[in-house]
Amino acid sequence: MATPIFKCIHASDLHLEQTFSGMENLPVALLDPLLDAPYLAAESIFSAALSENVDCMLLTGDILSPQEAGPRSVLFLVEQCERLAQRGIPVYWAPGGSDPPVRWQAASLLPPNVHRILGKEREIIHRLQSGREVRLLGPQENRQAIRPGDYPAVEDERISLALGYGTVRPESLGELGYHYWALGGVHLRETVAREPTVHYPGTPQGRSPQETGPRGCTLVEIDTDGLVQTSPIVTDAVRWGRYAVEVDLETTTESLYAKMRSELGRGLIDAASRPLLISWRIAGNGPLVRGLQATAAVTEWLEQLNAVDCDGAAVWHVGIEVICPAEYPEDWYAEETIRGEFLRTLKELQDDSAPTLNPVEPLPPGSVGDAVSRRIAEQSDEQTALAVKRAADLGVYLLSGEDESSSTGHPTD
Amino acid sequence: MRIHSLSLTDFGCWQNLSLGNLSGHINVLHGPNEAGKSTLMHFLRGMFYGHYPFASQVLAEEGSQEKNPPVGILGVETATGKYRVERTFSLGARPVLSTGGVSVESLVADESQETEGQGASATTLQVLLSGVDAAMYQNVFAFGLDEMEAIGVLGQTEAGDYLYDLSAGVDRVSLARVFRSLNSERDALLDSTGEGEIARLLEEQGALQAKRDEVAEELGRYRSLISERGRLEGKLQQLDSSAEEEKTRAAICDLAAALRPSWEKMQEASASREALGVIPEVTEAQFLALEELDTQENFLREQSRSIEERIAEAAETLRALPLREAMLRDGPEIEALLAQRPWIASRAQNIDRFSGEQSSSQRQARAESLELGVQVQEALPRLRNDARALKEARAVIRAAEAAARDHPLPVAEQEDEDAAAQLQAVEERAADLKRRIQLEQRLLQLSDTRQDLELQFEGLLQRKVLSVRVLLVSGSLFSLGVMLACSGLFLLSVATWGGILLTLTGIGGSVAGGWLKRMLQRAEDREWDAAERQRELLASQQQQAEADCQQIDQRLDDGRGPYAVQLREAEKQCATLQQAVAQQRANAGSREVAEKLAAEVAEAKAAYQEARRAWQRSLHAEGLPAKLSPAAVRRLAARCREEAEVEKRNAALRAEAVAQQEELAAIGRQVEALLEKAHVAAVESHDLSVGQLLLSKIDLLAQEWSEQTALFAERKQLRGLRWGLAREHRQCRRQLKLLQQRKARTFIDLGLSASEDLQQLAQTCATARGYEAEIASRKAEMVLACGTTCEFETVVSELDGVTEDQLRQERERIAKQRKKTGEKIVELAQQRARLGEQLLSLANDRRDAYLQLELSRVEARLETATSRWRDLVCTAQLLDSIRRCYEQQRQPAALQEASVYLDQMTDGRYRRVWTRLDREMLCVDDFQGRSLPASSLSRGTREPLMLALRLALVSQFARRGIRMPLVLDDILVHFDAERARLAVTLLQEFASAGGHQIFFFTCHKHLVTLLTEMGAEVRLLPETRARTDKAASDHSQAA
Repeated sequence: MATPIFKCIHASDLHLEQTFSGMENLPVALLDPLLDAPYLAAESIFSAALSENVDCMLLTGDILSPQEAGPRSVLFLVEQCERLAQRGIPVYWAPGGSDPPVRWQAASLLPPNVHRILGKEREIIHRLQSGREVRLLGPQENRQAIRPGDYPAVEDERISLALGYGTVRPESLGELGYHYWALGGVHLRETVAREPTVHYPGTPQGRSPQETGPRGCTLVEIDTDGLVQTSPIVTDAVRWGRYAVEVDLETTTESLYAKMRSELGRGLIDAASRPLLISWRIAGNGPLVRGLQATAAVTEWLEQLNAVDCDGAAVWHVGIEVICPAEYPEDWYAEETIRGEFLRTLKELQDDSAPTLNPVEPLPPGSVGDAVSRRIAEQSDEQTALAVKRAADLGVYLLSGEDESSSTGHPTD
Repeated sequence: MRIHSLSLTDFGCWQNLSLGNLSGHINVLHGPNEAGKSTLMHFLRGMFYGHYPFASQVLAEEGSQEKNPPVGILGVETATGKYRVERTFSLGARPVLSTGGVSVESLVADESQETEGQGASATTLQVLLSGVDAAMYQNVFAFGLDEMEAIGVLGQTEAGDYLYDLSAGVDRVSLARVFRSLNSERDALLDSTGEGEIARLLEEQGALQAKRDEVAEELGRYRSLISERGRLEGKLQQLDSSAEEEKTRAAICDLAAALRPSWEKMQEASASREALGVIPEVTEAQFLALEELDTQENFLREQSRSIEERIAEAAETLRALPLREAMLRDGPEIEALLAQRPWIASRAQNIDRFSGEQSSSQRQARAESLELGVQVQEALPRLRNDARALKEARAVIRAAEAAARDHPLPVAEQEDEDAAAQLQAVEERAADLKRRIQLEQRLLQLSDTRQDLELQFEGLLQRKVLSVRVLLVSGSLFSLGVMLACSGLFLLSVATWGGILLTLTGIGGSVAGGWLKRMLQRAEDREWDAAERQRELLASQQQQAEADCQQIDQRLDDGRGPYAVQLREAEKQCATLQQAVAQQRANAGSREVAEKLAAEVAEAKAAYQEARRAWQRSLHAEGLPAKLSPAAVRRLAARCREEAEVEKRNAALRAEAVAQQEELAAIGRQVEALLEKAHVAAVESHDLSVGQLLLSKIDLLAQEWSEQTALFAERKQLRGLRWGLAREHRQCRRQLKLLQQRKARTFIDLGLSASEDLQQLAQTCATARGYEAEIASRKAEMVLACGTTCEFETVVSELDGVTEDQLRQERERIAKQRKKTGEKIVELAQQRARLGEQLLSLANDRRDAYLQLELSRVEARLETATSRWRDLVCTAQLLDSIRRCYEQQRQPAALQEASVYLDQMTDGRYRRVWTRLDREMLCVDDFQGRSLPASSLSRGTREPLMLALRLALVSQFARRGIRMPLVLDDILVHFDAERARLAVTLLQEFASAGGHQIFFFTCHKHLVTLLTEMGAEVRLLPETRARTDKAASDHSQAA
């Protein structure tokens, strides 16, 4: 790549109004780091813009929902934008789902270097120090998906950047001639296409057990030939990790704990002294897995894990997901036991030859039952399938009739 | 276990009671109410589990401290033997189960063995009870009407659990337990009444949301604060602009006041300037330009005059120059002639040299020389052979002499002649010495060998006499052989073959012994002979060596030291002599060569003399001097040839000199003609040669030409100067004309007449310019003072037409206005700062974030709980179909058995007992197939059902090897006569067929009658202490 003539920071999904979720227990020592993490991550983005001496900053949606955010978030954003204003770095902000213009009433606080581009004011010509012009085009309307028809084709030789929010079909963007598609609304960093470059920088800070791994923003550089280079900048202040451990019939409590320690060691290296929040996924078969079917066993295991000191590192074990084998042994289906009967019934259910399950039926009348019913109704098909699988695993565990005490243990045994 | 006797003391209402020989089937204990039947049942329970239910009553009585504790003894029989169980009950404040105070004694045959220690007794008792605990025993084995009702609903009792768990008999797990597990966990999350963890979490979530909304509302003030701050910002911006305007206005007024003096002076200057009226606009520069034109015109006039004078002077000088025009015309010819002067001088010199060197004597000598040269030239071919022979002879002599010098004659020495003889003598002596030394060494070796041989002889001599061992071996062998032979001969009479064999063996052994000795002897002899021969040989060799030594010693002179030293000296001498002999041989060869070479030299010298004589003869024949050497003849011939060549060349030169002399004469005539044309008188001299005379004329001509040339150059220079001055004069005149035209045009352009007074005009203009400069200066001063404050025109507008008082009033008004504006700004800024502080305070408030985090935690727990609840429900629904199947087809055997008992007791009215596995509900099917829950049955039907269930449980326990006495405390009181009869019949069959021991307590005579009819053993309970006391009391009252 030749010497870049245009350099910018592309970030999205800051969600300054959101806190961490998915944790059933909150570590007291990590409360403040958890609350500060989104702000530290966002501050890292603006600091990166200053240190890289970029030409501008691109924000593509879900930065801050003013209706849900408190004063801290708003003033923090204003303060960070003012940092860029002092250096003369403009901020081009294409609104997303949680920060549409109609909901944004605190815009008056923002410094003049912040330009919200949407609708009639969606086209901005950014003049570089070299005299070149860069054309930035925001979305026509605030939508949940990118519509190629909203973006007119590029007709000149200027560097052209399109800003948008939502899902996209990259093959429909190639003919429009934009050098770079700066998109938002997806929390996982992803470059959907290369010619042209269609890129989601992802959220700068993971906030739930599903948002694992490093998170950050993207440094975008474009050279005279229009070649685009994207470089990730890691900004997360708290790292989420999900580690899978395989167990079998021979796995003991000690060996499982040793595996978890090994994975934890790697996770700590990857986290690079950040606080680490870990979700475990224990898969396989054997007494350990069956023992962990009981909620109390999982809770006890988690408590024991969180009681272990990891050489002073800030580590919190969020949860343990126990995955039983997808299929059970064939002879279990054939045996004349309650478990065999249960498995045969389950098979009929999976073959749609048995009546479907209705988990709402035994709900008690009243507000509590309605609330639970709503929650169950909101669950997706995938979650429903998983629930059936978990129910099957639980049934098999209960009907297997093995001594539970022999299969459970805890890390410090 | 079966109880065959019981005894109790001070237990409840019983002071002493002993019952022995109890039946293994039904034991009916009959007594009226308060006869102590239930106390007996409690006694049995207490004996097994240590519970004394009357402790509180005992403690309440007076003098309880002095009372003895209750004591009970049971004689029991189990499959392992008979035991005596004795228990002393403690009088604790509370009825407690105790394992203490019990002793179990095994009664085996005649001897009794008491189990040591309380702990061991308790353990033994537990073994006897087969693991049945107190609750189980109370609910299943020893019960009255109250206990029967308790199990009737099959609530959370262990017996009820057990009843349901009996389904485990068909699988590894109990479906009921699975259901219980699922339901209990599900109910813990959310039960049918809407209580549970999920409800609690929802409630907590609601509370948190309310609290968050409250905090959000409180923090939401920031929006109004932001808008308020925006409004303030706008106001402040307006006020700032107003303040800025007022500040500018005040600054302008201040500036106007400060610039007023300058403004007035500028006004005065303007008025003065206007008073001067219209003045031709002649600037100072234009005046200066006009003066410059005048100056230039005068300068050009003066210059023109000067040039004219110089032109006239140059013309005069030209006219005075002494030039010869004729010479100027012949200039090229003179130049060519002067160029030939070196050639002419050379020719004149050649002519003079040839003319001076040709004398007659010289010619004579030269002729003779030429003649000798011719003679020598002619004799050279004839002399060449002799000269060559002479040269060769001389070369031969030189070669021979050189060879003779290389091989000088060696000097002969007298000592060398004897060297060969001395060498031979020394070599012979050295050989003798070597031989002598060798012989000496040989003698030493022989002496050593002889000593060795002597030692060998000694050994041989010793070995010649055979050793004891050899003699023993050979002798033993021989003796053994003789013995065997003798034995064989002796045995021949007894055993023929054995004797022969033995005899032969003995003979063989003796022969072998003899042969061995002989062989050894012969070997020794051979060695001895060989050593003897060797010794003789050594002696002869030693004699021979000694003889040789003597012979050599005679030849050698004694007294010269050791032979080795003599040998070394002889060898050194021999080496010296060998070198001398070799040198002598070499000298002899050299001498022969030197003599030969000397002869050759002499022969060469003779040949040379002959050749020389021949050469001299030849010279003489040619008429040349005899002393000439061949080289001299060659040099002479060469010299003669060179002379001839020089003469030829001189002749040619002379001829050429004549020709050149004629040429010089022609040139002389030309020179004279030129001199004449130039009117130059030539110098005549007869002492000079023609050439030198010619050269003097040429030099004269050259001198004259040089002078004229200088004059020509001067004239040319003067002409050039005159021409340049003329051109300069023309230019000067032209410039003067142009200047005059320009001056006229300037006058016209300025509107001046040629006659106007330029100085006066200039003075007026200067005055006007002074005023204008002052005006400009004042204006610049005021503009500078304005600076960035305002425009100059703004200040002018403030000054123009405004008096000083008006200006002062305006300044005071503006100052007041500024003060007011500043106060407003400060006030608004303070408001803004307060708003900023409030905003900052709100921004630092993290309650909403904490609440949000807490909400997310509750949400996560809710999600997990809901998911788990759903999993449990799904699992339960999956199991439900299995449950229905099990309820219909796979009821536990206990219930099947209970169904039989109920059918029997109700005479077929109720035929089936079964349980719902999901709800722990006992149901009954009547003869019409209707299912009824147990709770809906009448007491008269429910009690048979409960009895049937217990009998079924007892039967199930018995199948598992657990047999305990069944104690029924008046449980048939609510049965009608028919059902009582059927029940008694069932109990009789149950006891006899199953081998169960039953203690049936009743106060009803009809039951006693029924049981008696069935063959049961009926005992009437004796009077208890209470009844005795009451009877005594009644009796005393009656008395």
